[in-house]
Amino acid sequence: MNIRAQVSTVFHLDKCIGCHTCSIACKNLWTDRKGTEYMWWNNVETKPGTGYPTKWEDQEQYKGGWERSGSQLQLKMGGRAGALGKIFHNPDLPTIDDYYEPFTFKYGDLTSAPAGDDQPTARPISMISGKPMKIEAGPNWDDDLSGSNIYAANDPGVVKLTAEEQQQLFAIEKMVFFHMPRKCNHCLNAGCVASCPSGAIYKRGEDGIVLINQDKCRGWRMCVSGCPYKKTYYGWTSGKSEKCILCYPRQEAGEAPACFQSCVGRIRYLGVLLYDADRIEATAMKEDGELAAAQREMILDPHDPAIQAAALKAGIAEEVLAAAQKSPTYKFVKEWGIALPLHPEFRTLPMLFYVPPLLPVLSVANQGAQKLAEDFFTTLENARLPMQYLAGLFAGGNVEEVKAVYRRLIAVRMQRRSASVGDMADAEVAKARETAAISPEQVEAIYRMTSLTTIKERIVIPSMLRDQAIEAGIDPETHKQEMGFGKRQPAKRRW
Amino acid sequence: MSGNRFFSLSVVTLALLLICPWAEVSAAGDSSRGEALFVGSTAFENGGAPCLACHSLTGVGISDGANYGPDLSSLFEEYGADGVAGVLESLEFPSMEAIYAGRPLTETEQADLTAYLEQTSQLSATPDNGKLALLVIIGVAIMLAITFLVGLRRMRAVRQPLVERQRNLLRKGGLS
Repeated sequence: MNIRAQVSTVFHLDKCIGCHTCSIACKNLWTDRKGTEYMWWNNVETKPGTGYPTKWEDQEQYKGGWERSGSQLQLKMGGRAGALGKIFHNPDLPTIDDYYEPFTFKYGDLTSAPAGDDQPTARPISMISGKPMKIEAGPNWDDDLSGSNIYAANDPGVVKLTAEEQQQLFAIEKMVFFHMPRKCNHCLNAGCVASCPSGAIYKRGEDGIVLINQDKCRGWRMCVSGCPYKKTYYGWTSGKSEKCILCYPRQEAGEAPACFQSCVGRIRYLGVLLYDADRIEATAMKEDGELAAAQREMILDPHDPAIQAAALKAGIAEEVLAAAQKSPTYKFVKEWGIALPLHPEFRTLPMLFYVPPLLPVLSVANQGAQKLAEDFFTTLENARLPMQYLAGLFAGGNVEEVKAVYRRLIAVRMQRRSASVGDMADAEVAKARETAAISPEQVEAIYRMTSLTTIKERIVIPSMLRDQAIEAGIDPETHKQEMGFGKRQPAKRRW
Repeated sequence: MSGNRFFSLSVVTLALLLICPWAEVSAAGDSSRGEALFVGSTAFENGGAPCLACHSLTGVGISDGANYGPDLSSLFEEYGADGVAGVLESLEFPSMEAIYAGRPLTETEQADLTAYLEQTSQLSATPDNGKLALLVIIGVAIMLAITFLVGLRRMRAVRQPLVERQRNLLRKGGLS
């Protein structure tokens, strides 16, 4: 057993209102520099939809992630020889149009335009060329199903559904969508790390945050295609690739990452998970449908004394272990089993988990007025989203996996409805709990964690022990006075 | 190819020269060795550049050689045997002097080249421009094909085709 600690995250999709505050917080903090205008380390997508960059889930197009080749895992973009052959010419990158051409407006014209008959307007201009442009795309262009006959209809998950299911998804007055925030998953078996020819990308030993060393990066951009989630980006001014750093400088100071801190819906949970690194390869080799369960299997119980002893022996600090015991992500993923990884079939073992959305059930048109259906507490049969679609997103196509989560979420709703409104028969509630294999106490705990927690309970940041790490090499007082912001090393370019 | 034959011939000639030094005085010269020297498949003993590097000669190669210096097809006719021999002895042209002053041709080489130039002047080779044009066209076509094939897999747009497909549907009147 090789125990490691991972700062992992859970997004509760039922709570996401799609306000993009997380994206803006991230943008303002990290990617407001020249050359990074197009990148959104954190973005919120509408599902069904093609996302950002367009159709990022379609790995026939972008060749991201891993595939099994015989008894081994191989990057979908090709082995070493293939990568070497493409090193000066990577054909699997998204074009700027597939991200979007970043734009701003000529606000100056509003005040400095010469007097005329018409109101002055601020024309859109490209942030790349500086020339006036026609805005045709954006990172959330298909927000709330806008342009759905182009974008939602071409969602790689929707395309795989039967014609009947597609019709169900897009029927008038039954249209359905949900918001899905995305950021780097800080995977256990990261495609970006494996694809980097310079060896510049690494997973931090103490907390599993995946980082790109800006001194070693040579800008080959293999990570951009290697990551199936398209969450590494090429910085056009720095000449290096960059990605979400899970705000590690903030976490080291005990603060929540900016997107977590700013989340209006309080959908984001953060905590330490302990896992067995020896099982990574065997887990990533499983069948598509088994991957989500196998990944859950890798996560170890921080309350088990045997695991605790092994963790301490493996060099995990007591402070981190204590944080792991309080981790909300452990509860969501392992104890309650209601959070699933996004696209486990990419085989990178992503450590960002999603609680799938239990949307309000079908609404029926009642003489022009919208009224929710009688059966407010939906059963699986009349869930608005096809189970197959959700299974394609969160369980490698394994419908049973998603159904198990939904049964638990339904049991929580029924028990709470019974407690607060009192119009549910106890027998019915008990039956729902039984089919979901969940205790009344667990239901109560899920309810509390979902709706009544403070930020300190939702976001349990382990001590990153920076003081100790600094002390090992330099006197902390000297470090504090001399370190500043570190050094900046631009790429060596002739142009 | 003929290059090989000339190479082996020149080796034999050289060997003969080494074994029987009395044969050196063959005033007639060896035209096949002369050709090898002219095109450069046999190097000049003192390291001078081969003639073909700067001059062209009808019948040699497809493009008749380089065109830095004047065409040598009619050299023998104009200068005659003595003239050519005189030229080869010193090569006192301003642009050639810099190259050959320190690397003169040996007497055997001069004789061989003279023999070769005499031989070519007797042949009535005419430049074959059609063949050259054909080869150039084939070469350009191959380069374009490679460029196209390489570019075929590069930067396939994703979003634009989705939008275009929908626009085309609308244009045809079918709203989906």
